Amino acid sequence: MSRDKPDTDFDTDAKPEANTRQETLRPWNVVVWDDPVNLMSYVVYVFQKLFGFNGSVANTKMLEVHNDGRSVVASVERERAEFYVTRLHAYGLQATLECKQE
Amino acid sequence: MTRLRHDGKDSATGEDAWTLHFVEVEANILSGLPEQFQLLLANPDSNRRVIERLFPSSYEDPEEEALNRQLLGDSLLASRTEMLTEIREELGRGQKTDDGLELILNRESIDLWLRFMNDVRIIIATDLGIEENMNGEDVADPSGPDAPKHALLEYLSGVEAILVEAVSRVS
Repeated sequence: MSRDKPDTDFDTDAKPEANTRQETLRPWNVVVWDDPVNLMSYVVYVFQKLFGFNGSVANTKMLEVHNDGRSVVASVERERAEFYVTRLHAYGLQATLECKQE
Repeated sequence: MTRLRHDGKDSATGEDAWTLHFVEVEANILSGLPEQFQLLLANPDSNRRVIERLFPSSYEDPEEEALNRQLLGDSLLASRTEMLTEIREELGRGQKTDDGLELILNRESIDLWLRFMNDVRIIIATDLGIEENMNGEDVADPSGPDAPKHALLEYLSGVEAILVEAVSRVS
């Protein structure tokens, strides 16, 4: 899946190639957000199912979501992060991806 | 009252198997849900807030999100439609009993039911405008106009919890 924007004749926002490559290679965080509907046990189940977490890690991540409002559940390359976010949405969880800051 | 029984390993597949039993009134309500869900998907403008909750943004940046949606195309909608088709098939395979309906489930079908029930819970809760974490203190007025929706939400929450516990126990 390509993330490239459509070609334009006058791309005034073009970034230097090195910077673009660096951004592509930088890991992306998969962030799960707190939600008033999803059951805590269901969130633990989904984390185990999608990320292979053991019960303890899944529970810790779920509590982060519940108490802090969000939790980073994975930091991976961008396409993988998009895949995870789409899967989390299919399970009804609120999730976004964000470029990991150094 | 919904019951779930672990039947051990299926002799043919070697996979864990469960029997899920719904009493008749529960089975009747459940049987109508896929159709109502499908109607919502077919008429997204009928409840835009619910649709936006079912298909949330992946990116906070609107430009990135627009590109992402363009790449995903109709796959998100197709995935939900496929889930509803599978639920209808599951219900169609159910065995009628004297007092309701029995479904034979494996881990995969429990996962399917969990996704479906959770989606229905999201639809109801979003429609009701529930924005705070649900807990026992928020008891809906039993004579209010939304009482049936609250009751269904509570019922589905209970079944979902039973299913999660069942698969977690044999993991």
